[in-house]
Amino acid sequence: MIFIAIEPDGMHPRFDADSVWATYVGAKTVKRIPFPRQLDEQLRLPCVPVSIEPVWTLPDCGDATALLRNGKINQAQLNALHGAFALPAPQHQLFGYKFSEQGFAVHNDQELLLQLDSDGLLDVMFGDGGRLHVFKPKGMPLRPSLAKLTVELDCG
Amino acid sequence: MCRQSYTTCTLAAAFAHRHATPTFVHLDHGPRKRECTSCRDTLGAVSALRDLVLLCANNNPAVAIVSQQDGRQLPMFLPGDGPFDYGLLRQGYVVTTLGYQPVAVPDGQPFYSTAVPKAWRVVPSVNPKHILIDCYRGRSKQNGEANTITLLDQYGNVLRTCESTAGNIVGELTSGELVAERGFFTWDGRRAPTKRNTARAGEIIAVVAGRYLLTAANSYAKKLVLIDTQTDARVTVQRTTETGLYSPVYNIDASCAAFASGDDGVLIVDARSTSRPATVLCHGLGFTCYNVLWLHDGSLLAIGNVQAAVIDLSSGGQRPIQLPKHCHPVLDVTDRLSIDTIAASILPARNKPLAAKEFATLQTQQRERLHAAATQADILPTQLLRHVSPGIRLRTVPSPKTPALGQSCFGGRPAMPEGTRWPIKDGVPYTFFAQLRCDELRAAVPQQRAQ
Repeated sequence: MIFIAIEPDGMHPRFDADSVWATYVGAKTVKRIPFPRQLDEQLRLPCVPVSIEPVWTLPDCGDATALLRNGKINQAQLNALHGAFALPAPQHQLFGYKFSEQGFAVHNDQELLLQLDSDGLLDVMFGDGGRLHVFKPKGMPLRPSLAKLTVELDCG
Repeated sequence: MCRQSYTTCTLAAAFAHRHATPTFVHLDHGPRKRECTSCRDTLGAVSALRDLVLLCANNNPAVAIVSQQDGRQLPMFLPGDGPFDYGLLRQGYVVTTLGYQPVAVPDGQPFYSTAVPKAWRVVPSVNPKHILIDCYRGRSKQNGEANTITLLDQYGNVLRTCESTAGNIVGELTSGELVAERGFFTWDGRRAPTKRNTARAGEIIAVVAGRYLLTAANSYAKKLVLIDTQTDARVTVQRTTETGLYSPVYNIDASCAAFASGDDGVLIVDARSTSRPATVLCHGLGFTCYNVLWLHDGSLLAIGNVQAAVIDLSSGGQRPIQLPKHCHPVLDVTDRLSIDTIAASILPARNKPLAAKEFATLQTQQRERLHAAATQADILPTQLLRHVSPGIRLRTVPSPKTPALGQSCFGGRPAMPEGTRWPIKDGVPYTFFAQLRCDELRAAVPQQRAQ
């Protein structure tokens, strides 16, 4: 299993490498561990099942240069495409293209590992209904370590 | 017509008014000892309701959508923090109020709700597309503090705003004046001259059809006064008990207001007809009424502790109705919101890796989604295919059950090997966010990714 925890600065993590903590453990020998006393009640998120499904993604407005490059698609078509292709929120996601309201571009040598969205079920809000993006260096294998991750906050 | 007029089941004559002034009719079904053909016919005239879809007060989340036909109850995740105890029907949308947070939910679009500014109170405007709110400032009001009244549309656009010291907002008159509990004021914030007949009639508790005011000394008062602001005609209503009068519940165009009136049943101010004056009707139910709501066909649903009944205003008839268990309805959204649409969005969580067949089905759905979006944007799907990047969606699923140990989930207490230390940074524990099973991840993505 893979475990993900985030730095609890009011859901506004600082953009450094240890803002997100992730690790692997074997699934057979686990038991529920208690919350530490120091963990604020508000940061003890409710437990919500998650369904893991394949999804297709397209570059969002920040990374759409490739789509616009050959001139066969114009900006109006692209806007219409993004509107029609959008999935209902929350958009928690592993891999693929990020989805960003602010439309910032991903650095050339990075790719999306994880996107966590504001979620009413979890009672979690990143910025003003935004998303937390975790990037990894392009081509970096996920095993044995999840080090060298970077984090960006899309405020919504 | 049955002769046991005001005590047993006088029904049909309630709305046959020929008077020039507002009329008060007291109906009381009470325990019926004798049947008469006329009454049976009238009861039979209660419209055969189609299956109701109701928004109900619920626990975590605060709103549930309930099908009266099959008892299905699904959560509605609407913004707001607090109980769902007030709703308002408007043209094209409904307003739910969770705590101080009113939310406009458009017809047919349960996932595109708009949280409008927080409010102490939400009341209907004369325009059936708009609402009036008394803005909430995040704290209790101080003595003498002015109320900020704002006119909004369903998107939360502020159309007009003003300050008033005339008490809480109650409604709006067709003349353009705003009505507060203790008087009238205009959009420029000035107190309007008090109408002749409202002086000393008590506090205004409802404005109906932008014309009629219902006043009472307080919410427990037996005596109520209905005033026509255009003719100054007034009629006095005497309730039989001093049970509390709950907030008015308006129909879509606010031409009719109903009050749950405890042992008196339901109190109805009806001004739907423009050709005759408004009537006040006290409809006895045979049970204590705590809640009332308007149904899509213009009838009323009166709810007691155990019993509930549908009241047909055109005939005055009443019919018991069985509501699903643990159902506390606040709004009827039949023909406005579809429970099937919401059910489709709440697919159950999978707790095992995707089978190859299931994976293929989901891939086909994604391809169809891409084609539909491309068609809508007037783009050839083939132009997009090479730009597609496959990912894994982590879809959180509302569920009353806690996921089993070792199941993929967000939040909660993590399942870790014994002795694992909670990650800490600068003495502060991290927030545990997710645990995901690698076998489920591998099954959801083309092989080259999950290595």
